[in-house]
Amino acid sequence: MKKQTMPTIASAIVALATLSACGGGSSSAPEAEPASPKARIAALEASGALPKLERTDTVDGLDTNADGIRDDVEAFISTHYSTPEQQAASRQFASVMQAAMLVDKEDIAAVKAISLRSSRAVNCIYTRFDPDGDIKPAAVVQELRSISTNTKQRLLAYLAYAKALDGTTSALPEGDTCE
Amino acid sequence: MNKTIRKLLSASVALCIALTAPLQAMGQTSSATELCNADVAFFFFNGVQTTPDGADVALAELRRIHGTSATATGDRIRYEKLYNYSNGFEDFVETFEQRLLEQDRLLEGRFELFFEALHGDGPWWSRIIESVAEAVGILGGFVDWYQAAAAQQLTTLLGNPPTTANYLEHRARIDNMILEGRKLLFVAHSQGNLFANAAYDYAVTQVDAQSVKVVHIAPASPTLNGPHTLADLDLVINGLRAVGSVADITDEIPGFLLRAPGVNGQRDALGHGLLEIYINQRLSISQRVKSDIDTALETLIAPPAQAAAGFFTATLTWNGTGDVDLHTFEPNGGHVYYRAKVGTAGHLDVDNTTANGPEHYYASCDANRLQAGTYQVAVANYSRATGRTATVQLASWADGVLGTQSVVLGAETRDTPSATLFNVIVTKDEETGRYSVSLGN
Repeated sequence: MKKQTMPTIASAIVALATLSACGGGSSSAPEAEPASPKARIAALEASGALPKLERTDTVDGLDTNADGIRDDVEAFISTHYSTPEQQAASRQFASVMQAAMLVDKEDIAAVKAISLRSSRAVNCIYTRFDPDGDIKPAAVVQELRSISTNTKQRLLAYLAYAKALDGTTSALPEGDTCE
Repeated sequence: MNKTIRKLLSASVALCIALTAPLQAMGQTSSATELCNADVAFFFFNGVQTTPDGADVALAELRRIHGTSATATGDRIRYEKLYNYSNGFEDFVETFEQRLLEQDRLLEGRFELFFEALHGDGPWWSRIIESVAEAVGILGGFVDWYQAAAAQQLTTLLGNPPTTANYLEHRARIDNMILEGRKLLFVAHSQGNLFANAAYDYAVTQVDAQSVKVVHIAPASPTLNGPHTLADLDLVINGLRAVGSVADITDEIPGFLLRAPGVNGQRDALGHGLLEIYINQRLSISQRVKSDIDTALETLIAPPAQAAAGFFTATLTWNGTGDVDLHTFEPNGGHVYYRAKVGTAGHLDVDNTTANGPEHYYASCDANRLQAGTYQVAVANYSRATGRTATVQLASWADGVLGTQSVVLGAETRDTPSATLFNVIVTKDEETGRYSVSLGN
């Protein structure tokens, strides 16, 4: 049997999107869609289907309660993760992400210290989210990384942190590493 | 005492392992034996465009699959990542930014979509495309570009392979694991295979080949030191195939449209992702990877232990002949070095007087011996080591390597340390009884 081939990845993604659309939504009656594509993106954001994030031109962003986590990230965590334990684990990782973006990348000891905190936070998430449940820990880590690095400035700051860790080693901690 | 005839190894190498008093750390209530004992060091070398926390996630998933005890042997497994960064990763952000401006700036500024876009799939992109069909071109165009860029990046890396400077800490960690008698398993994905091969080449100069094994996943390198797995629709490696030799394809995977998502909820349009393809338990290809790792775990032979594990350890090496000494000043003022190998809290259990090292100090895993407070770790050029570079790697049992520091040695100072490289702070939480370790200034 000839295997499926893909002329371009783009065409495969188009096909996937088409199949997804064919599957139908949860509502039985068609809804009026906002006219412009941008308005539809805004509607997705308003509905919570896309995260509503702050995009100021600083790495720090807005952190009203000064707990090392941006307000919008905290709001996302409160909305998306149900139990207090899951929210605490998510906040632990989010605060490490924020520290990673802000750390002096020339200070290798400081970078390394954040990296160890990050490993503990990832391990914590694995103890608070069921890998066989609806919200999987691997997805949580990526989701939190993505919303934390939601501007070019923040994403580049995070990649600079990753670059500073090139060639390092660390263990995946065991047990309860939640703070 | 005549220094030249002192024993290289202490008679009490396994002292720590034999201790049984309870110690609580990392939230566990464990006996010292459990806390400071592992038989296998499972080293993961990450693939292209992997973030540090992404590598931790990969490690956590591998731990979920293979457990902390090997099924066949009962060996306790310790998981560590040997991280490598993909040069030019930040350049991808520039291209992504341009894509976000397409379709009349439809997604302008939404960099939270970047990591999903690297795989050409994800819940946010799915929702966007379902609602705004125009967005599919933005994602598809980026992924098409990314496929070529990733292959180009790997080609460049193959032409300019990692140097010793790139994996100095990796080597020091391997040295330490060998010293402590651990079996070594290297599991590498994508570009991590280049680093794993370099690590393997080094390791077999230090230990018998039966004590170190490599499992290659989607290898970017044609050089193989163990079994490998490669998908037919891995478009990144297929891109490399177009410009040079790569390993043989071992497995067919379903086309993009038919793939079950991985544990992160994503398919990988490029067929290259570790979570999405190679250890995705919903795809049959993952069984080959699992089998290769299980077989390696079953057949590894432990090298002879020369040193004990510790709550934290300091390992000294240097680059050539001469006699360099490791000195540790314990919190109670005790001075542990070759003349006084047994301290109150720890032990110098490996001493070298001729060349290269190693020397090894460990702080006890026994709560009755371990002291809270600051430990100073220093080095001295005892003799014949002027100009040598001395390197100390400081590692904790819980977190692995905390830091690696080097110093160029000056003139001989005999028994007087000339450079303090680490202040190690051990703290005890009086409420929980847990100990933790960190580096001070």
